Amino acid sequence: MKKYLINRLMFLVVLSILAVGCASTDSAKKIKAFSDATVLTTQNTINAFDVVERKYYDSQVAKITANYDTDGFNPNSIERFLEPPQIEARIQVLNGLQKYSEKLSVIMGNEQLDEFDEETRKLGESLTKVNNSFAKNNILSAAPFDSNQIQIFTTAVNALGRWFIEHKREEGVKKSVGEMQGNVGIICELFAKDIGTVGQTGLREQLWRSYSDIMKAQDAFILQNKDTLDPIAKRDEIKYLASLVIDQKKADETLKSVQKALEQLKETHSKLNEAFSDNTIEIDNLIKQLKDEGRRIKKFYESLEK
Amino acid sequence: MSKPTDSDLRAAYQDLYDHLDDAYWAATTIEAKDKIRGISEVVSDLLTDMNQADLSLRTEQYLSLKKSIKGVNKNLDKLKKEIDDIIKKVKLARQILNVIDKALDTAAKFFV
Repeated sequence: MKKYLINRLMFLVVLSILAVGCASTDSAKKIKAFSDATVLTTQNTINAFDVVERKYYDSQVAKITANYDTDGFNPNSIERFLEPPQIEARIQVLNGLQKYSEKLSVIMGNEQLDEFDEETRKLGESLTKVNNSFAKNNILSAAPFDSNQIQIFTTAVNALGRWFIEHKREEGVKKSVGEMQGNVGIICELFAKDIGTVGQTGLREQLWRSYSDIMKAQDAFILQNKDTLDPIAKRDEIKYLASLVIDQKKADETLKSVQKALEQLKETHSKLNEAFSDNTIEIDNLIKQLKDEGRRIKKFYESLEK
Repeated sequence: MSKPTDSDLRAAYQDLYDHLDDAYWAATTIEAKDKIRGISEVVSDLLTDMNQADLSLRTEQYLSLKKSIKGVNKNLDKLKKEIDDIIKKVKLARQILNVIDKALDTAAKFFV
């Protein structure tokens, strides 16, 4: 009878570990996927500022080149589009957001649980050692506990500890996600505003105009030197001018996609706590879309680098 | 007639820039193109100044957000530490058992 009860108890303990383990692994995976997608989105947003800054510099160089014969060169004519404190404030917010998502992923990850499992396993070994020591050292005629009882005890410690950790981290993560809800919404809206619209304000307008300025300056350069450029060099200059038309549209599409990704990030984060529920279809789709969009934008940036 | 707003002014300059851009590509002589480009560059610089001013307006908001995010990240660090402490307690129990085992061993040798 005693053996039967012990076996039943063991069975329940193992079952509870498995149940907790499965739920945790699933939500941990979703939080990790969200974290990866957030890192991608924040990096793509930082790159948007970088692209605009570089193209603004290119436009100044193109203007200097086209006007060199009349205006010469003045080092003060080269300026940054955004001053370091302005760009720094934005990068710090994006880095903070990135850290937040990474911390969520670390807390929900398996590292701490694995460490806990390892510690309880070692605890069981130490208990067995002490138990056997009583008999080995002739302090007691027999070990006070049989090995089965020690196994039950350590398994119970592990199951309870795991349950406690699971509960604590789920509650903590849910609370933090709730606290960040407003922040993430504002961050995404502010950066979407920063990116702006062509023909109005923001990075897209600046980038589009930088390309337009470069095109006119490049055209002027070709016209000024058309009689002195050899045919191959002339062809290369015209080829570059034509490529700017395509690049302008491609670069704008990229920034537009970053804007879209920011909207998706806001929506995904607003539903992130669904990762702990039974119905995760919507959050799974949102995370997938966010990740796909992030990867697509990253490819765009890479093509702009070429 | 009401006073034009910053955004009206911006829109007017943007409109002028777009027209100058069209005019540049439509012009057929280098002289005309150079003149249009000269004006266009001045208008472009004005639009850049306005864009910079618009972006600067939001910098303060980013600075206050930074503080807020820092607070949430601190709470997450605290949570991680609390979980680490649970693991540490098991570790401590194991260390105590190891010390007990060593004491039992030593005691046995002493009394034999």
